[in-house]
Amino acid sequence: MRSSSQAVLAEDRNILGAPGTYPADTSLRARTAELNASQKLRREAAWQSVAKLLQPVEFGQTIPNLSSPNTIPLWQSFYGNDEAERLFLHLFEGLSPAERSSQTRFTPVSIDDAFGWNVNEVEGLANWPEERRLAYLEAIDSNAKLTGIAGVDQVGINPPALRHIVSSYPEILRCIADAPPDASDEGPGQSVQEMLRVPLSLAACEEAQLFGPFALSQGETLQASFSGSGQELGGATLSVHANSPTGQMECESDTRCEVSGEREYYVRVLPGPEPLSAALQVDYKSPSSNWSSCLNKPFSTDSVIVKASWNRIFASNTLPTYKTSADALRRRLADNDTEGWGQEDGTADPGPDAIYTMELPNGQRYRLTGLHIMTKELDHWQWISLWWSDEPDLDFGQDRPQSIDDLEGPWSNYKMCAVSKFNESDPLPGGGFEQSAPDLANALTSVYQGVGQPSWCSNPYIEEGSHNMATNCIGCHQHGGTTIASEDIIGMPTLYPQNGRSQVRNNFPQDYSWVISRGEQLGLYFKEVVAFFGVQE
Amino acid sequence: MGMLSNSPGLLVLPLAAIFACSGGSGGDTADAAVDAMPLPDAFILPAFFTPQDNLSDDELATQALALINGDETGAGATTCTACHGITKQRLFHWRALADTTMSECLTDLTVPNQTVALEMLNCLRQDPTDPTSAFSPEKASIFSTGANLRWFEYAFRTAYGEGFQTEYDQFIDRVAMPKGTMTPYSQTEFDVLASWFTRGLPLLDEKLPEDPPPTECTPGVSAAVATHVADTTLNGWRAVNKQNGILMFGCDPKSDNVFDCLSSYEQAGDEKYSKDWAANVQDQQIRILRQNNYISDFWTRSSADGRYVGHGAQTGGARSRIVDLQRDLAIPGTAFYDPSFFPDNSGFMFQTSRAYMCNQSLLATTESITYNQESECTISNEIGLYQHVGANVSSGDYWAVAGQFVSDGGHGRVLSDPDAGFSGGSRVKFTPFIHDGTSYSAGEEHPIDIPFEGDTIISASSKMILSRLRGPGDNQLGFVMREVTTTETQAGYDIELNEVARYCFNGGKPAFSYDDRWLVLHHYIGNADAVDLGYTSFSDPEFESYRNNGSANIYLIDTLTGQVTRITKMRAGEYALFPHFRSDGWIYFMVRNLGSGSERIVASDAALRLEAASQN
Repeated sequence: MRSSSQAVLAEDRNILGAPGTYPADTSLRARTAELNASQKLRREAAWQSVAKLLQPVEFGQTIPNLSSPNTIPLWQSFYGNDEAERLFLHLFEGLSPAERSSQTRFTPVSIDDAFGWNVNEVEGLANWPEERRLAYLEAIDSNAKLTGIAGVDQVGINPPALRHIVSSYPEILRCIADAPPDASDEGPGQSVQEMLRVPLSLAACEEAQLFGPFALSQGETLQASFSGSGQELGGATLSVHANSPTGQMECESDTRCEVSGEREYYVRVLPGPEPLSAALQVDYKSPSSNWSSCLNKPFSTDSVIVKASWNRIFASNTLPTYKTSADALRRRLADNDTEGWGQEDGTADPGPDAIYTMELPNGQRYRLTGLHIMTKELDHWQWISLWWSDEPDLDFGQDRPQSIDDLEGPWSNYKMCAVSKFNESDPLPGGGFEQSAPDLANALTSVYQGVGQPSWCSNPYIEEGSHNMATNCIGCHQHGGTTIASEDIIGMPTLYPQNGRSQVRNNFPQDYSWVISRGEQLGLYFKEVVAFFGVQE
Repeated sequence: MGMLSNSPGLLVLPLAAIFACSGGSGGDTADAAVDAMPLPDAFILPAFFTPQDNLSDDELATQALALINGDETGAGATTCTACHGITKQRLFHWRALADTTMSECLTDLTVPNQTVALEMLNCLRQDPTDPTSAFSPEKASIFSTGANLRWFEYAFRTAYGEGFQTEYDQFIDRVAMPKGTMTPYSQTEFDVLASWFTRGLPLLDEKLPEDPPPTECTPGVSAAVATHVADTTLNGWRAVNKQNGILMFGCDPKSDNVFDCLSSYEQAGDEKYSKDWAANVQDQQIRILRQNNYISDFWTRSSADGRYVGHGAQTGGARSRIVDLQRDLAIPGTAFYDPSFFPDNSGFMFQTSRAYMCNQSLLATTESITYNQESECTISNEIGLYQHVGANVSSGDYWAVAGQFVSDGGHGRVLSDPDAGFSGGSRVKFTPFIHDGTSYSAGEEHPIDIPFEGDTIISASSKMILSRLRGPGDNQLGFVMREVTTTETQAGYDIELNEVARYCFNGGKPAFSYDDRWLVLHHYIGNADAVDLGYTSFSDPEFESYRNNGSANIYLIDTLTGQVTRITKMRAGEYALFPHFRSDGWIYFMVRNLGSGSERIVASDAALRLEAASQN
């Protein structure tokens, strides 16, 4: 169960404003092979993604009793499950009875509109008159309370990811009704994956806007197009350039471009004699199978989903602490089948200056112990897990870049592991950190099983229970969209070898995401809403 | 069930039959030896109980009362007082039930053959003619405290042979007292209890001195109630659920007209059987949502969205049912009774021998529920029977309250409201379910004294509780409402209760509306209701049918004013029972007809109509 008092409600979103934008590196997928083969490069890329997700974003409203700027880390501005449900309900209500009956897909514009409605929904609620809204705002008089406005939802879904989920509801419902594909099924045909969708509002003859780079692999096709037509486009043109922003122009059009070839591309939008008010969409078409048949298509490149682990602060409780040194990891690996992470190594009572802390409007305080991050900048996602440590500069925190330490807040007390592939491809057990970060090299060596053997990334505050210490995120998530229980994936080696770390599927029904079919079960909510309207109509 | 005199000393028992193997000597040594023995061979008849003839009346009464009162504190305690007010009236009533058990059911304690064993055990079922109907603690009476002991196991082995365990387990789950995590009585202890009851409760008056319960109820509503209701109007679960867009069953989500909800269902009065059900509220709609082809057991409660309606089941082959009105399906379950739904539409609690908490999402697709096998359900050892649940809108923590209660099954013909035999030591126990950041876990139980009160409910907001108040003769005097203030402390919570209202009206356990503005309850018709129902007096010949067959009506209490409004007029033999609110203000209740094998789920918009009228 979850309680709505811990979620981002309409009154909270109004203060937060719209979720921030994750600046995805659309060229990262071109580096997939080198990230797979180098723990060092993988961790560098992961720290960069972490830095982007920790960047402060400004609140939508001015907080009268706090000095500005009033900010929150980007990831915490994302949509929680309750908002995802509210947005879906709003969108589905907005369809005509015939469209609801035929389960018509929402248009991109209707989703844009719903995102906008969500920010201001509170203004139309009878139980939130203006004076109550002002009183709520004025009650925010500390930074902890400020961050508490974002709630303690476990899951955070950024707008591109949620856009994709809600627009995939027909496929999600079909998979609930028909069951997801068997692990051995090969999906037919091509898949189209969204890399970018950005609303544009440019004045006539304004300076050209540049987007990219977008990396294509062999056999793939890039499509760039405007969503909108005629007057909305104002005579604008888009062009696609190879290898650099000023490189060879491969295509120019006033509506849509399509190019092929293994290289990086840039898309340029030049406003025409009239203002431009439309969205630019950049997709790529892959000849590989459609691996996410329980979605409309794979998630877009700029999608991010996070899972937070919060620990409520009572006057008397402390936080368990876990060592992640080489010795500690070896010891825990030996007990993985029975204990998993098992008993803590110690306890701590870190204050707000040492651990990310927030206070809900009801006065309850929580501290962030872990953050599980998946970004779709790689085809099989980039998997990152952060955890708080009382020894933050050792082992998995030893290579933490200055950019993280420079951030506002206690982020320098978090360690990190990262994975990009089921099996390890780095020939160096210590990941090449022997000189620069020897503790990290030793820790990595302790979980290293060799090239071609399972990779490793496990968060002591999130991966609870037996078998769960020797996991790698991607292995369990490959089953996203199925009904297979996590306990089975990590605890039934004949079906799911290496604690579920090995790839055993030819398809990924919901593109590695669990948020639809597990936890709060967004898919089930979609089904209930559709059934409810079916009964009414 | 025929009632016997409440006077002690009249019990006549076939005592000779009790002495199956241990003789009559009793005594500590012999009893201790019996307790220490391994389980007997199935074919050796154990003693049902050994009369404690060596104990004087004084010694027997002292020891038995010590066992009954026990020590309520800590896990593993053995006591009756955690759930029952131990008053003289109650013990006399239990003795009368015990008499009936022995004279009508446990008629041959030698258990000579399978036929006799089956007859005796089936007699302990709610419907002795239906071998699938549930075992009844009331029919087992005080001997339910020996349900775990060897004689009953022997009887079940004899009755059901090799496969006896399933039936025996069901008997234990359903009947054995005390319940929950408390330790069962030993054979030695049971011998004392059974001896005292079968001897006729000698010296009860002397050994159970009681402070006198209140004799008067003075109605009153403090200003704190108005302040509270003003707050919950904006910030109660009714408002919050509406804000969160929960899909109210039978309503058009795009319409704000709540009176249009459930309009596709038959209205009372459309058919002859429901003519004149609606009473006293202008334009009230009563909608017939479903006819169930089974009889429910104890109370009925519904989900906040009104889609799911849960209750125990006396008949129909399942222990309990949760009706999914949307799928028109009565989901069978292995829970017993006392469902409670969390006010935020997230989950529900249902009692077996322990309390289970389940995610409500489970109900959308399941065809049956076993509770101990669904991943959506967890067990809670902390919650007693007749629990009620609420959730603090602002803190997010859930709360359950339990304490002394009086069973109100609504079974058969009932001619008066349940008694209110709550003792001077009655306590309400608050149990928080605390969000620790990732999940909920039960916190420490907080008992608070509420002398002579019981059947406590908590409001959806968890900021009010309401109890039935005992008066002279274990009769109810009215209801007491208290404001609940919780303060987080090092150990969990401090809880403070302040009385804010007394409503001097009687009836079964009520339910709060989701904004705490209304209470709704059923009241069994007695002679005092004759005039209100339009008869000249209770002796009016036309009222005779009510006197013979009983009935129950639904009443609303306005928490702001104390105003009581009867909203139904059921015919004699027709019972409107177990009303409760759903989030938007519609009321659901059950309608039973005496002797019928089916009953109906019914909805009324009476509170909404009264609200609308008060605003005009």
